[in-house]
Amino acid sequence: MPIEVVMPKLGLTMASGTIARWIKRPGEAVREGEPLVEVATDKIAYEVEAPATGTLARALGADGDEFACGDVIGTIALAGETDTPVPAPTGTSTAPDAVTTDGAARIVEAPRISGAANGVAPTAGSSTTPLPAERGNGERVIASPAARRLARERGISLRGVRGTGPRGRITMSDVITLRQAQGDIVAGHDSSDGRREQYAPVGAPAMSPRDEVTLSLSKGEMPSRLPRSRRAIYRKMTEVGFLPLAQVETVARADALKALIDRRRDFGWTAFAVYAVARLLREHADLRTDATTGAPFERIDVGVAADTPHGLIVPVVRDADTRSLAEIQREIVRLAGLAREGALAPDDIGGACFSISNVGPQGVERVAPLPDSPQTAILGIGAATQRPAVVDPSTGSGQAALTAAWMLTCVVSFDHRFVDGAPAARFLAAFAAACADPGMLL
Amino acid sequence: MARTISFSEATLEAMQEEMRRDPTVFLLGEDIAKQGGIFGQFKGLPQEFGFDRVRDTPISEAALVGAGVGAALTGCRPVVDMHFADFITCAMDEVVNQAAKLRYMFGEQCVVPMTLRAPDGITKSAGSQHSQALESWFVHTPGLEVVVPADAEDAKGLLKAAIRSDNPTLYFEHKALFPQKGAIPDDGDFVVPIGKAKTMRDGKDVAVVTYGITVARAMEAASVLEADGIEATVLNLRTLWPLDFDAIVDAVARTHRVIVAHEAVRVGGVGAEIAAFIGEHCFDELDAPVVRLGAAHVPVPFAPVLQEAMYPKAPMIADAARRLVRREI
Repeated sequence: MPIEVVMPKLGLTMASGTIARWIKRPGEAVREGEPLVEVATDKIAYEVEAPATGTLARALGADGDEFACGDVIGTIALAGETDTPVPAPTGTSTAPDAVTTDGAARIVEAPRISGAANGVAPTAGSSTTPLPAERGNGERVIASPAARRLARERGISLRGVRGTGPRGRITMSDVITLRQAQGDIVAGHDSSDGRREQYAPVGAPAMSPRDEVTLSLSKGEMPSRLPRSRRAIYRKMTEVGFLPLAQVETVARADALKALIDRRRDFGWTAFAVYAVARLLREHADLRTDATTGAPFERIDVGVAADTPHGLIVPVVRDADTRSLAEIQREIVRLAGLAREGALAPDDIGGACFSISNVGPQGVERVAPLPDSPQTAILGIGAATQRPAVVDPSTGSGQAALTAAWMLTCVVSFDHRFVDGAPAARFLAAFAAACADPGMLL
Repeated sequence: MARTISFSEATLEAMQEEMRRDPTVFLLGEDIAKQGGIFGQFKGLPQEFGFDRVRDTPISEAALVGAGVGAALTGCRPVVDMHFADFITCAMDEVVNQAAKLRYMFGEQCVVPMTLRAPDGITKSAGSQHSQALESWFVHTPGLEVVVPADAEDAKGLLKAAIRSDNPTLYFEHKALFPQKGAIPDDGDFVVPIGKAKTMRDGKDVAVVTYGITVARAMEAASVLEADGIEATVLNLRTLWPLDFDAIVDAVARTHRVIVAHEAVRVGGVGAEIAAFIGEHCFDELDAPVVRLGAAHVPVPFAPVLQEAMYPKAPMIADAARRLVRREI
């Protein structure tokens, strides 16, 4: 009996998924565990593995077709079975009704109805449509493990790069050269061995420009040529564009924090922000209000905006209020690496109670990001830079004077339906105090 | 303060000091008492400690090691000299099935604090049966400690540590090292801890992870490389089991390019274990494949020209390092 391939449910909230592309063609032999079809949700692409060894008999749905979770999207014929690929949508299959014999493996007979009768694009459509070239060795990036790690940490794509090692292998020095050519796109400690390279996730350039949002406000339809990876952002930004958003902003003194980061070198600005925000959110419950219930989120999971080749993605540091700075740093590096490779697991995203966007790595001083619904508030931080500051006359000679100090611009944007200005300001002031005196949280 | 003495004298001092310190330490071996050992490494000891504690034995390695295991079980700390490491093969049951296992078999009710001195390695056309480096067999056997001194300091410090260890310890000493002179600390209680490697020199371009006589060859290569502007780290493992994994990780993380070198046969050698460990635990630190250098998979030739061509020496190590740094590997 052929084995069914179903649209997987990749997370608690996933109801449906889209066929991104069939990796195997109908008629092609597949081995259990081999990537079979790539499906996409709003945020992630996921390779579905073949549930059995045999021949891909049917591949329902063409690129872009949406299926509910649990729907059959294909079948695999086991060795010796005659369920060969259907060459044309004849609709006269003679297979008996599907019979589920085992909840775990869902072994069923071939479905009776053809793709067309099922309201799905005819099977033949996908079997005759030329599929995109498979990822062959020619496309594989050849890079040393250390070079890959360095590139991941620095947010550099190695695709299309030719290295100077044997067979064109990309080595660490190639990545370092590449970064210099790209003009230091990520701030970090400039140690040439790259071991303790600080990672700061690239911020969310797509978040602020209002014009992108307003463009769509008048229309209900999503622009037809919008890439799939942008659709979720499009939907969310349209939604958030109607909200009564307000902001509070302050400039934090960050001399002590800068010194700490330089000295410890095992965490960066983003990790500190996650750490501090998570601890402050325990008390400042207003700032973690869940817009779907109106009550605070219970778990303090903090989202971190990451810039990736697929656009803005916000992976989540779970239970950030119970983790050490170094753990948070490691988790951010791990998540950012996966985000860039499009390899985030469904549980790596979603469910945050609050998010952070850091545009510091781009050298920009200020960002006013938009809350990621159903979250109701978000913190934006920019690059810490040396700016003129007034020396407090009470601590110095008794006279106000100008000096250079490390300053960090912080903005909290919030949904005024749930959060008021005063609690947001108290939260922001507490965050600024933590930047000025990080020791009080550590 | 430091003195310069030969490797052979360093081992002699180690035994002498430990015998003075602990009356249960005694020596067993062929031609060690009357003759003083083939490298003079036992000379003068019977005069100080008597023929009861420095014992000549018949030529039977099985009996010799068996007696050592028995003495160790009764609370002594025997040092058993194998004459040539190659002859351990005649006492494999005593080493592998008895010495290595007894502590485990008797539920820690006994220990086997025995040291096996095993002169090994290629020198002066000694031929296939007197030139081998067999340490990997014993690294593979649970229950044994394996140490390999690289110079006079190691020779003294590791032998003292081996004698004091409660575990059966194989002490592989390269025959060509015996006359080599080196500085040792004057401290009479100086011991090289088992399980700790030593960074002989620090460089950022490439790391040579090695042990025993190959340390000197790696140091020679490093000097040559320095003239070419290549900075090499040389890590002297000193102990092969328990291995100093932290030191290996550190050397890899500082250089990202690694050569593992030894005189023992490359196939199935200790270097294979180290390279595999690096692959498993330092994958993201590697900028090039780990290069393993070792002897050819052939019996050690008697012919001097062939003998000299079959194991890694300084030029081979330097060549591998250059190719790694130039990214040809």
